[in-house]
Amino acid sequence: MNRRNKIDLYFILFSILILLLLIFPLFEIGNKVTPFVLGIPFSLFWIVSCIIFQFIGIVIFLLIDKDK
Amino acid sequence: MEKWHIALVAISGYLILAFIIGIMAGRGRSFFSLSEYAVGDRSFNLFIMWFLMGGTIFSAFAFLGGPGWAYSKGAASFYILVYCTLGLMPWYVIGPKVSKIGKKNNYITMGDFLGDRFQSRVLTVLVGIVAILAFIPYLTLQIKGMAYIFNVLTYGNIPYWLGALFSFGIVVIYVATSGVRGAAWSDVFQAILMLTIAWVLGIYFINTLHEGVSDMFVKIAQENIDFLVIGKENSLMSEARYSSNIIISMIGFVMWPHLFTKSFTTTERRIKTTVAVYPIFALFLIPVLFIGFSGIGVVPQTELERPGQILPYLITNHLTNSGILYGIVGAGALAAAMSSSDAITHGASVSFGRDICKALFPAIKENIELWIMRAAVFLVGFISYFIAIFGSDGLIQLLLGAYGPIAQLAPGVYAALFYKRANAKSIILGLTGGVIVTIYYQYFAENSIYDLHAGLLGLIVNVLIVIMGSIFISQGPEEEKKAKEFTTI
Repeated sequence: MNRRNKIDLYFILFSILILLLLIFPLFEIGNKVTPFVLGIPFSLFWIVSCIIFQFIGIVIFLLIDKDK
Repeated sequence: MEKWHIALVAISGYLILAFIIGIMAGRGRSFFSLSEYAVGDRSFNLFIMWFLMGGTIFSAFAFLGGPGWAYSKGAASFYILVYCTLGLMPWYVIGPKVSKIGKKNNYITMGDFLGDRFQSRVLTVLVGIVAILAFIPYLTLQIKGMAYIFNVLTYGNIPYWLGALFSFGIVVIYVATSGVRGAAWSDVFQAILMLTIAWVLGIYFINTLHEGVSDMFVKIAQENIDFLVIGKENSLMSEARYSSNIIISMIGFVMWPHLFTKSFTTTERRIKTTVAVYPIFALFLIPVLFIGFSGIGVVPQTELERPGQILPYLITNHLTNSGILYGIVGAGALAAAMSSSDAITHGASVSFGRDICKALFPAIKENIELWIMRAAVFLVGFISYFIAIFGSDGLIQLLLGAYGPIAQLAPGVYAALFYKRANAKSIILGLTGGVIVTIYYQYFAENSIYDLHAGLLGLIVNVLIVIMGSIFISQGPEEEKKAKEFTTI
């Protein structure tokens, strides 16, 4: 497998990880009202955290993934 | 001067500005180049791409429907944030490939891409038809949104047909003249405007109707704790429905032809960077949901005919008496509807010209094709306007079913890039089978299996057909060559 395909494969795995964190059954961990974090219910906080985690993740991919 | 006069002036000011930006975007570019009209000469930078993708997705639904969902369905509305976040991720992998092969073989539509890979004009036309059938209801909703905003903010003084004619007419003109670049630059302006307004309104309502975010959510939780979670006893959406909605959006999002073809407007690197910065757009949506949440316990449900009216209700009843502020809010909501409708109108015109007309009559010359596309802007615009203003609610509901089949394009696109054995017949059969199953579960079945999204059931059938078909049917020599080219790009 060449470098390009390898990065794509890792990216797909990363996407699936984020997806799994946001749907059931794994979303059950975040699916509760308390504790409130920064004034928002835990369920919303969980989703916002995943979005930020995803953003950081893709930025790291971008840095590694320079076309030679 | 009455309040609605001032509001009207502010909205008109916005419309004029959007119009000028849309028209100016095409200046200095060739008016007679098909590539410029359809894909902006493949030269868009990151700044434009981010706003173009964001603005396109942030539609009237997000501005009116989003708060409505939060107000009436609670945590189910988080789904909007999630699909916005996940929807673009597959583009990181497929976008650069599509862009590269598109540049090499000069594609401008999804029909070009699939038709060439599978060496099938039938498939091209099929993709064109599916696209246009989905575009028209989407557009109809946006036009209804525009008409509604105009009507509410001027206290009924501007009738539905006129408000929609003004705002959508502007879109039609700048898309026809400036093509995708017109849509892109006006999206930059519209996206900035609507995001600013969403935040200002969100913060304003939270602080005037409640004592901050925390206070608001605590009150909601005291009333019904299951309202803020999914799949509990008193929650308004089941786990299976929530999860399958998200999965189907992740698969189907980039399959919307007007988003898919944006792969052709830029370079591989910029596509990846756009995907990276895109989740920030999802975060910008949060205040829109807060607007809806802030209405809970303040606005009695009996006051509204539909939950989608929560934002206009809050504006007319709980915003200060300043006509200017009022107008600016109206402009923001209009911007949301317009920034989606320009990309869709454009997408429909290109699909019609290339995937349907050019595929059926290959002898059409490029300059004629371009004029067909420009004419199609008016044609599609007229049909959607007509349905939006004169169509019954039942008709519109029926048309909205055309959304479902979009995700059924996914197996074809993925197979084109990753599955060498896939052939035209199995893709066409899979697409047809998937669409039929989706429509069956949407309209005719009593219940969906396990409360799953109808599109997901269609997709399962679709994928099975593609795999079986690819095993048992063999490819022609031309198709084999193309299969190699596509899977190794």
